[in-house]
Parts: sequence; C-alpha cells; structure tokens
Amino acid sequence: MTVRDLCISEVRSGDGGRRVEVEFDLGQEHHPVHFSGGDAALSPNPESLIACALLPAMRLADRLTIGEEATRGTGAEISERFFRALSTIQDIYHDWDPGLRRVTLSGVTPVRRIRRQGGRVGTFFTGGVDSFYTLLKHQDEITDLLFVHGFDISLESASLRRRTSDMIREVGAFYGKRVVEVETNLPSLLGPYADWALLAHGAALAAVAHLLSADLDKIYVPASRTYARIVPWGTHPLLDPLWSSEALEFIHDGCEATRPMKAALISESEIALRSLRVCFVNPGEAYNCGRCEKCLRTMIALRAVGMLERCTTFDAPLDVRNVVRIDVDRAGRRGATMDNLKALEKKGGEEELCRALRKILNRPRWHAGVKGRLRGAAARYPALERYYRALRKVWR
Amino acid sequence: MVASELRIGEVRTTDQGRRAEVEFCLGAERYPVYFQSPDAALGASTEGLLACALLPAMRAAEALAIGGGDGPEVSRRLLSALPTIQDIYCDWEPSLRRVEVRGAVPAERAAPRGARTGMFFSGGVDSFYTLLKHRDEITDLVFVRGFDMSLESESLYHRTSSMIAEVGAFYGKRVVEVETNLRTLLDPHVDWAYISHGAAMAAVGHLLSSSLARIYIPASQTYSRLYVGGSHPLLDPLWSSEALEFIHDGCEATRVDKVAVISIHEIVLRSLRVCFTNTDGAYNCGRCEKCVRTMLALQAFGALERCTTFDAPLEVRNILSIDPAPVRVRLAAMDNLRALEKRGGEEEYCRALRSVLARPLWPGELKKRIRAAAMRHPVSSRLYGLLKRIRRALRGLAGSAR
Repeated sequence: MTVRDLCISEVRSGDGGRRVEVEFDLGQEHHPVHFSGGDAALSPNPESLIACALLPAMRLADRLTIGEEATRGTGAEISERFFRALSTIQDIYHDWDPGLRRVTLSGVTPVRRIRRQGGRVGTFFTGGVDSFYTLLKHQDEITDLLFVHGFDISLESASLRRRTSDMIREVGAFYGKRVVEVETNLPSLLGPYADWALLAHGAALAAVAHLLSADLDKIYVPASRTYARIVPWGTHPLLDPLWSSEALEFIHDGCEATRPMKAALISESEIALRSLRVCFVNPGEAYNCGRCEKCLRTMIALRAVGMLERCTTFDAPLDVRNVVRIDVDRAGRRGATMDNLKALEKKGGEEELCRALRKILNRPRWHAGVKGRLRGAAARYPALERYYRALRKVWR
Repeated sequence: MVASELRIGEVRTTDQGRRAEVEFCLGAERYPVYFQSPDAALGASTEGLLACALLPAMRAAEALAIGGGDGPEVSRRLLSALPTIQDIYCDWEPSLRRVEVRGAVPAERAAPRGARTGMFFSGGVDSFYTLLKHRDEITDLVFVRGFDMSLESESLYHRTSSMIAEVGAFYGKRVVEVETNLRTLLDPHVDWAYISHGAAMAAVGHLLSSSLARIYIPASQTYSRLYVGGSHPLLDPLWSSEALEFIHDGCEATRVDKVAVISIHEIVLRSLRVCFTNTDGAYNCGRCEKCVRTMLALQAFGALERCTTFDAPLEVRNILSIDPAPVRVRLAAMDNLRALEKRGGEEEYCRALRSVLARPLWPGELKKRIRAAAMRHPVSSRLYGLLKRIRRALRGLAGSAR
C-alpha cells in the first residue's frame, strides 16, 4: 500500500521577514500559501506549518512530513509540548468528523522550547462582542490586537477590509495596544478539506499565532460559547490550549459569560459601541447588515442592556419581522436565543421582542427538521441549490 | 437562607491514618463526614477538603473558610484554578454563586515520592476501557463505597468488592477501597449526577495523594457530545495540584467503540457492572436504560451471550421503555442502532430502537423543565430528590412483582 504523504516542501521568507511563503504538496497537487505580517516579523516554525497542514493531511493523507528543503536540511525542531498534544488534537478532530483520520508526523524532532518571557500578550480581535469582552476583561495584560485578513473577511472585500482595519487601529490607539494585521490565503488550503467554522478556523488562528511567537508569550482566543453550551467548533476550550508550546500559551477566554453578559460589559465602552462588528454575511460589503441572525442576536443583547440606541454600527434597525425568521435550531442558536429572552424579560418593557423570541423558540422541531433536510439536499446537489434559494425568496 | 460561611473543621485521622473525620459547619448545621480505607493511608489534604466543601458553599454560603491553625496551606495550582472551576459551575447551574475562599495559604506542593498512577474503577464500560488502554501505567484501582453505591447496599457492595479484587489480581493492580458518607454533605445542596460527583472524586483523589502522582477519571462523554456533568474533560484537570494530576480519559471513544475494545476480554465479561438502579440489590438489573444500552452494544459485537453479569436477558419491551428525551440517551441509541445494523441479523432490536428514536420528545422536555425549576431552591431540590427516590423505590417494587 502506498503511503499518501502531505509534504511541506518549501518555506521562503521575504520582505525582511514580513512575508512567508509555504508550498504544501499532496501528490501532484501543490498548494502555495502566503502570510504577510504588515508591521510585524513572521517567523515560520514547524508548529505553525503543522497547524496549517494538519486538517488537510487528516482528510487525505496517512502522513504529514516537513521536507528537508523546508528546514534547510537541519531537521525541524518542534515544541515537545505541542508534539505531545498533537495526539489529543487528532483525537478531537477525528471524534468531531470521523472522515478525518489520524496521521503520523515525520521530519520533526521534539525539543523543549525556551520561554522568553518578553511580556507581550496578544488577543485575536475582530471587533465583535467576544473580542471586545476579552480585550476589556484583560486590558491591563493585553499588549497586541491581532487581526487576520482573509479569515472572516475575504481578501477580495477591499472596502470592508479597509473599514475594519481603520476600526481596529482606532481601538488599538484608544487602548494603547499595538495592532498586528496579518494577510493570508490559508483558507484556500483548508477550505476544500474542512469546514471553516466547524473545524478549520481554530487551527488557522493557531498557525498565525505561532508565526508571531517570536514576539508573543500568550495569546487569547475569545470564546463564542459558554461552558454549558460547548459544541464541536473550530475554536474550543478543550482544543485551543492544546496548540500551546512551551514558548506560547493559548488561552480560550470568556466561556463564563453569555452574550447578554458580554454586551453588558462592552456597552460601558463608547468606542466599542461605535466600532462593534459582528456580521459575517456582509451583503454589499455592509459592516453589519442588521438583518442576519448574528446581527439580530447582538442587537437584542444590546437592547437587553439598554444600549442598542447608542450603538451606531448596524445598517438596519432591529426589526421584529427579521427576528421571527430566525431558525433557532441551527448551530447552537437556541441557547443564545434563550439567553437573550431571559435578559429581555429581566429588563422588562420589551414585550413585542419577547413574544417574537418565544415564538421562534416554541416553533415545532419538525419544522427545523424539514428545513434542515431541504438544506442538506440542496447542498449535496448543486442543481437543487438554485431552486432552494428561489423557494426561500418566495417564502420570505 | 444563605449562611455567612461554610467552615471546614479540623481533620482527625485515626487508625494509623486509615480513617479521616472532619466536620463541615454551615450556620447552625453540622455535617460530619468520614473517609476510611483498609488499603491506603489517607492524608489530611486541604485540597481534598476544599473539593468536598466548594459546591455546598456555592449553594448555601457567602464564603468558604478553611480552619485549623493560622492559614492551612493549599496547592497554588488548585487555588489559581478555583475561579475557573467556579465559573464552570456557575455557568452550568446559575443558582450557584461564586464564593471567596478564606484562610488558605497558597503553597507549592511537592511531587509525591512514589510514581503510582491510580484510576477510579467501578467495573463499568468506561472503567474497563481506561484500564485496558493504560494497563502498563496504572498501578492502583480506586473504588469508592458511598458514591454510586449507597452505604446500605451490603450484598451489592460485597459482590462489587470481590469483582474489583478479582480484576485487580488478574491485572496485577493494587485495589484501594475507600468508604465515605460525603454524599450526606453534597446531596442536600447539589445534584449528584449533574454536578457534584466530579468534585467528590477530586476529594478522594487528593486524600490519596500521598501515594498517587496521577489519577485517571474514565470519561462517559465524547469530544463531540460534551454535556453538563459532574466529571468533565474541562473540569477534572482543574482539580490537579502540583503533586497530583487528574486526567479525564477516553473522550475519543463512544460507548460502542469502548465495548468493541473491552468485550474481547473474558474477565470483563464476567465482571462488568453498569447498573445504577440496582433493583433489589441486583448487580446489573438488565432492565434500566443503562443496562439495556450496554447489552445492546455487547450484542452488536456478539458478546452478550458470554457476558454473565446481567440479571435479566435483553428484552424488546425493555428497549421500548427507554425515554428518548435526554439527548445523550438518544445519541447512544443511534450508536447502538448503527452498530447493530452493521452486524446484521438483529432486525427485532433495530426495529425497537428505531421506534424509540421516532417517539415525540415533549414528555422529556417537560421533565427537564420541572427538574431545572426544582433545582433552583434548596427546599424544592430536596423535595425533588425525595420524590425521585420514592419513584425509584416504587419502580423497584413493580420490578420485583414482575
């Protein structure tokens, strides 16, 4: 039997260490991936390369190799802590998606990395509720805000990228934090092999953080779910710390707070209310469309703490007609909706909104089941997708 | 009413360190708790006492005070993990409140001299899986009387004790039995299965920390199906000190995966103990959901007939009586159904499982809401516990009448 090998064949650094290019080879296929660090120097290391390649390897290969060319023939030294945790990382991925199989790792030598104690602490920062909560909670400790172009905002969305970049720089200047912007096409390597939200984005964040590990001692990954509601998701309180090395500590932060609790904290900050960015749909490169489930969920949480009117970043007002369209049976939305309902009931005087939330929570589950099956069928057969979309429009 | 503090009294160790007694004072209420072991010395570990008292304090007090001289030492690692432990508990059960821990002095605990590795062993599927997976490393099987098995169950205890002794002898492991009435402190304040059994295991682990360096806690959940439960992969490691490492083990395998691994061992098939209902002191009643779930998995690997520890044969009517409302029950039924379909020739059991899975979920939802409402107040949670016990007793009577 031939062993299929995903090989990291070449790593090139350029632009004074501010750009890194990596070649990932799988048989005849070649995947070039680049990272540009803007102001920050990037140091390619086996930890970051493995974080990039692990999921594609688990999907398609039996072995993941760091080639001699990539390490200039010196043998790649890898953090012992990271190396030991790879087995559990693979256990978790395999359990979440049985189509991912454990792979062996070759071409690396485990060593104990030296902790530099440079004192810099980063947080991944997108401008969302979770990001602001972690920033405000640890503002005395955090020194760097990291934003990655090419992850939740595609590299093609020029104006949205510019607006987001300006916002993050303003927040950085306000709180006196260094802003590190990284640009990458890494999702083009991961996308074909692992769902971005469900699996891949945590590994991608780990890859970027390790590229910056010459500078950072600790990196916060803001949590999007609470302890009681964790589900398989790319960033996860069990998974994120496993990406740590002796030199760089990953901390999944904020599982103790629901979205309304986070909204309550961040609404004390004027700059958060004029910068908040939560939308991933971004129709027409809108900053926050104000209509998608995530925008609505956030607007309701802000309303529950009486701060929605002071938040200026939503393109549409909170409309009950949009709220009743939310499908709460997708991706852990039910819990978040219940949290919002509880917060609104506690505040009082929001009967119309409460009624809408109760309505979507009490909708029979078969409704969601049928919708889910239709959506699944549409995703499997591209020819159906067009009709599915048309049907949805008519329904609306 | 919330007391100003829950105070942990002085620990008295007797019988050459094989018995430890301590009193927990909550306002005017006194909870005397003991631990005893014929097999190992129990240290007066402040970490263990903290694990005993944390949840009752979070339910019924404003602070937790550790008594005994001026400032007893507590592991720095555990003290720094306490805020996260309390965050997790508060998120799981919002009626619990964060409490301040008074009187503890942080200290670096020294690593134990020996390098013994223990595991909590009840004789169930998860226990055997962890034992077989780490059999080269594990040196001690720890069994606690008074946790899943009540202190009154004499005959069941003797049968379980001799089973564990046999397993220990077979694999060359030391068996450490511990007896405790810790549940008299925990049960009035928090639900055992839902919240407190992990803290209770942490308490016992720390009391044994003079001889153990690591202790495995067999997982009952998988990474993709994590739910709120006293022992949890996020929570268990947080109970560690510098001297004792807690490892939550086995989340990579479903129950069906685990049964596939363990069912090829004869000693497992003559020792397996999974039942918590234990109608009439039965070792495995063979009728409750947990027994039926395990029997179906054994059947899927053709091992049920060789397994001699179930008091009743696998019957379709017992499969049909499963309540599919709890998500984990439904998922376990799906796993079993898949495994049985793969084996083939088990159409009757498959049909029964399909019918269980097709049943409406609202009765279960209603039950869950009643439970959540009851757990919000100490009085109603006690009443709920009492009603549960009465219901279980009635079921037992009905079972014996059958």
